[in-house]
Order: sequence, then structure tokens, then C-alpha cells
Amino acid sequence: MPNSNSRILLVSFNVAGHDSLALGYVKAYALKDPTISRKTHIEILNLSHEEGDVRQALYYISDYRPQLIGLSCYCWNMQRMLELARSVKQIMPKVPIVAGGPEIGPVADRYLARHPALDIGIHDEGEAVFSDLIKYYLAGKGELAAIDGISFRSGDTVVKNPDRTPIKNLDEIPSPYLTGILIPRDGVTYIQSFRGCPFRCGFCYEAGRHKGLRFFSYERVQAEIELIMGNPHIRSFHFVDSVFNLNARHLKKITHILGSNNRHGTRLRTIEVFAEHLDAEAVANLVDAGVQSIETGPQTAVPETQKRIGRYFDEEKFARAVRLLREAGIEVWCDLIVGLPGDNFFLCAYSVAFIMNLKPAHIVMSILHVLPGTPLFEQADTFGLAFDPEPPHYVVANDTFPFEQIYECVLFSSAVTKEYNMASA
Amino acid sequence: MLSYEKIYFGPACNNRCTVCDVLADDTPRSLNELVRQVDALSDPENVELSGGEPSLHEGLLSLISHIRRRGGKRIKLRTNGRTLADRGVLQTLVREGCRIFEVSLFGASPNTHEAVTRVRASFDETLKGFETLSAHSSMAEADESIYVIARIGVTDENVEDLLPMVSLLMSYGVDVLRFVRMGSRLPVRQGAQAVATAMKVATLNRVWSLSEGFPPCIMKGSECHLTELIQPQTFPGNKPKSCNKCVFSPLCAGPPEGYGQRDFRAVATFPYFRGLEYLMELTASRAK
Repeated sequence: MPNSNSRILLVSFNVAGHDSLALGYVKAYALKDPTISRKTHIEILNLSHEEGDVRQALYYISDYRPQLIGLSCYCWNMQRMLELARSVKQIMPKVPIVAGGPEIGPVADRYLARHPALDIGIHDEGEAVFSDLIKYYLAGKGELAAIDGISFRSGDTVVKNPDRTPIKNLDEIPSPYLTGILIPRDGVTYIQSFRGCPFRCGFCYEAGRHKGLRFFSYERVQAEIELIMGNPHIRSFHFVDSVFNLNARHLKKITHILGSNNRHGTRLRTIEVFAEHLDAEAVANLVDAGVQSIETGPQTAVPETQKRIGRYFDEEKFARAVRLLREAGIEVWCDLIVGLPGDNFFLCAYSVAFIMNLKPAHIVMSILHVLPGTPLFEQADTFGLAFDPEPPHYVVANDTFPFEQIYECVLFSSAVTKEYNMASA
Repeated sequence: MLSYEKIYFGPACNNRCTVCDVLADDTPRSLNELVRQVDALSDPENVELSGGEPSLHEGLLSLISHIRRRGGKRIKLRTNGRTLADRGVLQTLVREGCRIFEVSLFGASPNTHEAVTRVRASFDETLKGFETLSAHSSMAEADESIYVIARIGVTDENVEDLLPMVSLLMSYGVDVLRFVRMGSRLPVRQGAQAVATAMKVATLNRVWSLSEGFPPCIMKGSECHLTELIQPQTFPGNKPKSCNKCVFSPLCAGPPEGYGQRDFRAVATFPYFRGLEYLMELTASRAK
């Protein structure tokens, strides 16, 4: 156990049973620094979003007594994180609290201005920034004003530093799996092969981030896959890539690695694909790789709405892909969003009917969250988008979709998709 | 929203509903006949079993198995719910693959319900059926989960009873309330108002509801709940001239038979008509 001056705690509220991959990366990157790894002990606290409690986290914190706390913030857990930060400040007022993650990043300075319990907000990716913060807080190195990619409190004001250039070569971030920080477990293990997204969908925070894609090397991805697929107790795992079939070359490479390492019949579940790009060959690649289920859009089947949210949609190619996947025995999960600008109750009902017609295995409906940093968040006025400024930022209305209809559409879509998803295997 | 292929079991029923449109002298269907009906379906993915009361048919379980073998994924039982009072019956049906139930109710008290069913104690048995469904819903694992639609027959005898019915059915946690106009003696405007109010109450309590048989011109403000609009069928011609000016004319059967035209007024515009056009186009392409 390191000495009592060097304890760092990273906290996340996740879907029950899951570990935070993001915090795994943050810890792995920090420990790469010999000084940090020698002088600090970094702990990750994963709590269940559904069943976990702020006071559980507080109990852990009061027992562990960290010198620095990092919070992994998403729209669905932000309220809990704020409650936790406020409570921590009551019992440990001097412990700095750093908030990162997609809920904070684009509006870090605004969060700090409104929530005095937060000391630092990280603008974007946390790995390099958090390492600098550890050095600053625990070794007294440098000054906050010189750390790019953060907003911080200076007296009564909030200072927003310039953004930091993201890590170009992702292999600079050690693998949390290969370093033993995260232990692969059945059904809850996630791999990332690249960061970024080639698309600019209005509702997605990936669209608002830096352009361009950055990759982990195939050697690195292969090593992670070998570790995971070599474990016969892991029956299935996932990828978090924004588009699994990014392009034909990438798909072939990744599926080849998967196929050639699959000695125990491990399945790949719920990977995100861009359906319109799938042809018979790509589907065959997915089958060879052991893909059990895929998740895809179209979010709406209405061309005018697709245009408004900056999404490409080709009805025929989409329908063909769903058919090819179905015929190949791969479960297709189609996603639809209620509350998009351009839609209304009846257009949404059309999208549901359109998707049902394609006979996917499941239909997943969700309500629009107008997330900070997304194109819809930035262009809210253009679309008359009214939404809760507090997380999870549910849409309230837009210029084509009045609130009563959004409310009714949520009831309607929950009911009809429940009936649809009753399908016997 | 989902379309079901219908398999008709014949008229045998343990209720004698005043509003039933099944011919009592129709012949019961043998299992072989039912199997032939299933085999004749071009797409048996969604199948609705109706009667009469299909749960009284001794071949029901065999037919459900047959539908599953033929590719049936969603099998819906239209029932008065009385046989479902027996937990064993429900469990057997669910295990066989029937997981969607549409249960008819005509009142919130024995007097109102049985004025339609004309069978004493049928109300208690139907409620017991809802109770069994509700208990199953709260206990079932995902692969044995069920979906329950309450089919509320709206008649002149129970129109005052709709709100108590909504309240009663919500206590059983049903997934959907379906208000269906039945019988020709119901004053249609009064019925429409009562249904619209009942649907508002259901919506407020986060239960989805639909109506059937009430033209859009008398359901202003409830358009999102009209089956005729969400699942459009086309109704060409044979309507009063005044209906031709109505924006909903292609989707509406016109004033129900037996009613004068006084209650019905053509609707000039509907701001969400583009969505209805999309739905109509989809229905037409499906039919092709």
C-alpha cells in the first residue's frame, strides 16, 4: 500500500455489473508515468447506476480518504455525481474534485460556474490531462493555468484554458486489459479499436468533437482480443467503436482477427454498424467473426428529419442490410428516437411502422437527449428545440413536435415496441 | 400498429354478448380446419386467434404449436379472459408460445359488464383473468413475459362506466387500453367524448390507449389515439357528400351505419397530415 499522501479515486456509476472502460484508460495512462506509478495508488470505484447510491460512494471515499477524486460524468449519472461532489466537500473540503466525461467536456466552464463543489472540468479526453493533474496536485508540479484542456477555479472566477490536442497515436494509452487494470468478464467487456466517428449525426456528441479518426494499432487490438477470446468463460463481449464497419478494409482486418482467435465459440454482441454500407461480403465477415447481434439506426425513417439531423439514410440499402443480416442469423436491433426536430407523432409512428416492416429482432426506442456539444445543442434555436438544460437533457418540444405529442409518442412507442419485442425465438 | 393474420375458431363462447357480431349458427372449426387456415397464411409471423372464445377449443395448444413451427413469432389470443382465471391455463399457453392477450371488458361492475355478456358471474371470472395476467406479468422471466391489451367494448350501456373501467384496468397493469365502439344504439358524440376523456386519464397515468370506430371529425384533440389514423386503411367512396371535403376522408369509413350526418363535420385541415401520407404509402406498398 502506498503512503497516505498518494491515494487517487476514480468514480463511475455504470450499467449494473459493468466496469468503466474510460476510467480504465485514465488509470492505465497515468500509471505509465514511473513517478505516478511509484508514488500513487489509483483505485477505480464502479457502482451500479440502477441500484447504486451516492452514500455508498461516500462511505467508500470516507474510508479510502483519497487526495484526489475523478468523476466520470455522463448525462445519465451527472445528477448523482453532483450530489456526490457536494457531499464529499462537506466532509473533505480540501480534496480536489475533477469532473470529466462527455456531459462535462463541452461545457466544463459552465458546470464549474454553477457547481462550487467541482474544482476542475476536463474539456475532452481525460488520459493526458488527468496525468498532469495528478502531478500538479500530488507533486506540486506546474500550474493549472499551464494545463491545456481544463477549466478551473481561480478565486471567484472560472478560467477556461485552451483545448488540448488529442493523443494522435492511441497506442500511447496502455491497454487496461493487457495491464491487468480491468479484468475481462463475460458479457461486460468492451474493446475500442478507434476513436471518433466519420458521421456528424446531430444528436450525438461524437459529431461535435474533433474531426478525424484515431486508431489503436491492429497489433494492440489483436492482443486484447487474444486475451479475451482465450478465456473460455467469456461467452460474449462488445466493441464500443462508433461504427464497427468503418470501411471495408477495417472491417476485414478486425473480423479476421476475431475469426482467427475464436477457439471457444465466443460471440460478439450489440456492435454498432452503419447498415447502408453492409453488403453480402461484409455480412459474411461479421458471421465469420462470431457476431451475434448488431445495433443500428435509422433513428427516424423520415427523409426530411434525417436531413435536419445531418444523418445519411438510404431506405433501400438500409432495408437490404437488415434482410441480409437476418438471413445470416445475426440479430438486428434497430434504434429510433422520439422528439427529433422535423418529426411529429405521426411521422414517428411511420418510422415505427417502417422498421417493423423490416422485421428486425428488436426495436429500441429512446427519447431525444439534447447533449452538450452536439450539433442539436448548438443549433437549438434553429429548430426551436426546447430541452431541460439539466442532465439528462430530455427534449421538451421542437418547432414541429409539441410536448403533448412527444409525451404521447413516448407512451405509444413504448407500448408498440414492447408488443413487437414479445417475439418468441 | 402490428398487423395480425386472423384465425377464426368459430362461434363457441361461454358469454352471450349482445354486441357480438359472430353468427351463433356458424359451425365450429375442427383442428384440421384451423391448421389449414394457418397453412394458407402467406406470413404467419403475427397471428391472432379469435372466435367465439378460442380458449374453449380443445385444439388450441396444438394449433399454437403448429403456428410456432410455421414461423409464428407473436401469437395473440382474443379472449373474454374467463378461462385465464385458472393460472395453470395461462402458464400452459405462455409456455406453448402465446404471450399476447387481448381481453374484453364491458363494465367496471357486474351489472354493467353482465348486461352485455348476459352470463351471471362472468364479470368476476374476467377480473380474475386480469388478476392472473397481472400476477404473471410481475413474476415472469423475460422469456415468459406477456403483453396485455384490455379491449373495452363501448356501448350505450357502459358509456358512463369508462373512467371506472380505466381505473380498474390500471390496477392490473395492462399495457394498452383499446376502446372499441360496439352496437348501434350508442349516441356517437357522447361516446366519443367519454372515450376521449378516458384516454386522457389513461395518458396522464402513462398507459397507452387507442380508439376504434370513432371518426376523426368527432375526436378532435385525440387524433394520436385513433387506430384508423395510426394504422390507416383506405375507404373509398360510399360516404356522404359532406365527407368529401374532409381531410380524413380517404382514411375514414364515414359516419357509422345507423347514425345521421348531423353529428359529423368535415375537417378542413390537419397540420400533421404528411405523417398520415407516409403511413398510407407504407400500407399501400405492403399490400402490393
